[in-house]
Amino acid sequence: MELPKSLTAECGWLKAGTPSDERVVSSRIRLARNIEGIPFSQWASSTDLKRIAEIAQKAVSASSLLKSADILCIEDLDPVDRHFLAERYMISRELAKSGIERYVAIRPGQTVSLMINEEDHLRLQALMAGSNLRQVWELINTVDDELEKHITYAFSNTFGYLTACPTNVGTGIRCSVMVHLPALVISRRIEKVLGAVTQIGLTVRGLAGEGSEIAGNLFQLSNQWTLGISEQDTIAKIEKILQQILEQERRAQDQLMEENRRAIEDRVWRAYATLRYAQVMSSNEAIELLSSIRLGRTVGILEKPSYESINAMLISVRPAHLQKLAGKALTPPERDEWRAELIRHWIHNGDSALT
Amino acid sequence: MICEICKKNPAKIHITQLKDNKKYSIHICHDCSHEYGIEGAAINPGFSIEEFLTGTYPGKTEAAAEPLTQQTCPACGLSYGGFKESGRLGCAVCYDTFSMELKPLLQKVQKEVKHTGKVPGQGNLQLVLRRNVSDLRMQLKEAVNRENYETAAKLRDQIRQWENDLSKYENQ
Repeated sequence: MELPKSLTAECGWLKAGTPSDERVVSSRIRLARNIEGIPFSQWASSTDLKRIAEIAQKAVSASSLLKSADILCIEDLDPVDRHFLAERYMISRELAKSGIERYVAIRPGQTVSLMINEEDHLRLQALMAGSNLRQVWELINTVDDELEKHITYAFSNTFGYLTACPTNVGTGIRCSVMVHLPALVISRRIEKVLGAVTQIGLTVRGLAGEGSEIAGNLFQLSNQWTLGISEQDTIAKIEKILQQILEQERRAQDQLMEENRRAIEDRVWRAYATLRYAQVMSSNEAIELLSSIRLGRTVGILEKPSYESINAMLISVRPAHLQKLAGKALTPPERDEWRAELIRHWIHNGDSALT
Repeated sequence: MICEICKKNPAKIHITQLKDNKKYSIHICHDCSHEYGIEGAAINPGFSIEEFLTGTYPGKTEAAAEPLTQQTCPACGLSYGGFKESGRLGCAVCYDTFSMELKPLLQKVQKEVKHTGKVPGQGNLQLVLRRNVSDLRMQLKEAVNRENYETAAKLRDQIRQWENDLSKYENQ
């Protein structure tokens, strides 16, 4: 099964949401839900999994916000296509591993997706660019209300929404904001700042989510508690901490520019030159250089490219995206050449670059 | 006073039970209470001093050593050991089945063990009743465990009443 054209075109959520502090790349919320009376996906029989998929798809077609969604069966997708969807955060890496009766419904515009038969029966997700958790919550909450009209969720007054893993029980909510904090990393203050965060029910992860490495000075800040705290309070808490972290980053940037202006300018322009002329480039190198370009924009050294296009490039340089662009399977060395070429064109052509 | 089982250590645990208007008492040490799975009748309600004194108590059975982990979920068949191995529960009913074991775990990883967020299906009376009954059942289990029999009796009556209402509602 081929991915629909609408999904392989530009990554829609990169344009969604109100413009905000450019240090925040994206805001994402996911809700974990299970259908009453059916074992959780991991322990469910194939008949159960089929029933879950049927109930979910029925609810999707009855929802005004999801009825025009593309529904894809993960098993029928090529591995590259699965990774492609995971790279732009439409599905989780877990779902991409496949298995029977796994589906995803993706709303046009790619701001909402519903994963079916992941760890929980349903994993509803919404995401937008920038610092827009409240807007994302409004959207996902509305979709959740619509689905709830057709699905009886497993729920208890004490434990809230019941999930396969007790770390998600309660609201089943995971709110994440991805932030770019280069100055805190350069000035070696990042560990102190983020270390404090984990002591108050929040957690910090790398670019690709759970268990991933930190790359490109990008950090995902998300909540850990789901029980004993409401959705609104969870969002308010993350927003408050986010503002504090951004303030620290701002100060660190000011200080760097005051004390080490030439070193930062050199770093940014070297990154620019490499991106402009390199012939072979690994994924890690690309992400680190793009991070320097982004820093260059934030401190006013560079006027271009736009943040939106840098954010898009951070996704376009990933393996499955490159292979979709090439229209064929690529070996890792081939990918490094394609990546370098894509970036050269992008820098050369400015903002009209591919996404 | 010396332990009535090992006759070595000082007796630190004193249990008194009433059965058929007869009073039975036993005085034992910590080690023996642990070994025989009688660490307070609160933890092992199956322990009977009468049986112990008359020699009919099964003694060091597995059920007595780890009374809680032997339970399996009536809905999906998962054991608590199975959950500990995989880190994933089997179904929604597991939360009821293993509520006593899950609570200390949730206290560690969560803010509080009481949902304060969104509540689905509030327009559906049947659903709301069913959830209330399941809540009361959990409270009942806790009351029995804490030997709070007065509360337990009240809860039991309340559950009966709610269930009555529910069946009337469902038969309509």
